[in-house]
Amino acid sequence: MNSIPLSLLDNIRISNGPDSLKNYFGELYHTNRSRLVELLNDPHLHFYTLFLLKSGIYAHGLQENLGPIYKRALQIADMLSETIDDQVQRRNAAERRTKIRKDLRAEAESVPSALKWIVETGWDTDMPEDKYELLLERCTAMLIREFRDRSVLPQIADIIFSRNRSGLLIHNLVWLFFEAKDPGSLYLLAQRLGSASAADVSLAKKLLRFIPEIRSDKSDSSTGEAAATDTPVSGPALYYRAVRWLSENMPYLYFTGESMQMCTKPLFCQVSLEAKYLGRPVSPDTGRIQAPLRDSEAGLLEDFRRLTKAQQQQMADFSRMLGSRDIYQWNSWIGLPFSRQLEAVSLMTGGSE
Amino acid sequence: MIEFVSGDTDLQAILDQYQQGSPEYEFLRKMADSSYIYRFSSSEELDFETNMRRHIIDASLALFRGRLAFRIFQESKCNEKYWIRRRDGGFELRPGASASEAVDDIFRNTRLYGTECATAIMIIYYKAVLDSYGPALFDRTFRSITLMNWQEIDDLLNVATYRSPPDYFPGDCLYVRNPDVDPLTPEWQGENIIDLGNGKYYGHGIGIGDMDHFIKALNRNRIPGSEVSAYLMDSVTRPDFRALYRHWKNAS
Repeated sequence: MNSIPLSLLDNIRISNGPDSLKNYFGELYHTNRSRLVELLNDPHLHFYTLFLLKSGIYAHGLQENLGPIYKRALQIADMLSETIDDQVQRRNAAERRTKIRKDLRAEAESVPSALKWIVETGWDTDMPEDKYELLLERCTAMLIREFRDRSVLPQIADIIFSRNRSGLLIHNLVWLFFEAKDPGSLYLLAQRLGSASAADVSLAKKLLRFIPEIRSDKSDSSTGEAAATDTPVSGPALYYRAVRWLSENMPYLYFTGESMQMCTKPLFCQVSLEAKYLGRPVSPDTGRIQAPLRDSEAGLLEDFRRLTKAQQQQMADFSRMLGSRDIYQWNSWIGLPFSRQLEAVSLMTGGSE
Repeated sequence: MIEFVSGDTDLQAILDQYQQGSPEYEFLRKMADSSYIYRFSSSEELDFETNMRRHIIDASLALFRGRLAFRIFQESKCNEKYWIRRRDGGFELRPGASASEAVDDIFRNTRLYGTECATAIMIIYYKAVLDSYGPALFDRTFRSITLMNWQEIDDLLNVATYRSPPDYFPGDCLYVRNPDVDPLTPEWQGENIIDLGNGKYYGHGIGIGDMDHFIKALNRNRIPGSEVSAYLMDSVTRPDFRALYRHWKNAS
């Protein structure tokens, strides 16, 4: 699942299973306690191993011998596990969640780094698909949504694709990945278009369907229906197309809030054509142009909104193309009255919509 | 506006088949009054869609009355006699099992099943197709079925999402999004709901109510202190009524 080196305890768990790990822990506690503490503090230890040993650690009072991140990680696991049990029992769940969040917030120095360690090392294809998986989902959600940590997105992308190859649930992880609302992270998905794994390519195409280069869209402009089919282009060629499109449209991309729980073919992102036309970046969260518009820009947008979707697309693409080629020419063009801008586009693109 | 390629024009006669206030009447009236042109090959095709939308609503009410349990994927459950529970929490029709019996079983032995809201919508769709086709054609048509929210749906259903649709109708599936959902309850990030007509909706796990009911229910699962409300997204999800009709017509 990840490329972090394994500690001795992790090796025992992976090679011989959780029961052998627990037996080894029990034996070592009686024969060489200081060695056990040393192993539990191995910087390469994975969270799943620590989690499996949690009851033994508590039973022998060893939590006080753990380093601060590992100790905090176990505390977080206890707190968030409680919210998972609440989910089933539904007793004062909301109040308890509020208190847990407040407690975690109060330790803002150590909690994010402990959460990050849990997320980076805790997802494991061999882990049980039960409350442990839910715990990992909660930890990932807290890290991304509550503590706004974007640095973990490369690992999340790895986990998503790895779990997908194993036929494991990825929907909430995909939702969280896009909830981070980091346009730069989309390159992590595009990388998989060139993967040797067919499952990776298929998933990357599904997640990047908002890129026209990825799909050939037979859209009905009246209904907005998107009956898309995959483009036959594949491999590195598709990757380069996607990367080029992302680079061109990055300042104007925003996250739509669509998810795999919402529909069959979600469009996770969209380009603000208005922003692309004016050459003004948008908030990835809302899609709104970030800085206030000048009066002249507001006037141009009024005219722009009267165009059909296809015309808007053409104007936006033209504006971006001209701006990237010759900023002085673009400045002259965008300064023209709207009707003159349309004439110029028509002239330079052959007159068709 | 409704147009028939076959030249049928007596829309009033079609409307007269249904009581005012019924979901069927609301569907036809809205379509007829729309500025968007809805084209059908014949009045028979329109009848098929009208009836299937009714079946979608009936199946929603049946799931509600049967008290289908709300379970996240990790805790989903099914009757293993008919379905195999997959590692990702989805259900697959057991090889050799009758698809019609398996779908009916969800409505007969509802207590044996538990799933989240999107898979509940797929169950509703398959039940509506079963009630439209009858068991014999349904079994011939669906040799395998996967129930896993919106993924791995049979091509014939061709479930599609329409963004900024001109109209919403009874039997449509809508989505209420909860942008500030509590990260400790990601299952409430949004709710798929079926339009039951007359301003009422069914959403698995929340129940039946007007739009405000669903928005309030999702808002209760926001980050404490959030002022960003849940909202209805401007999109609609529908099975491919036309393809389902053609398959039924060709098989009849």
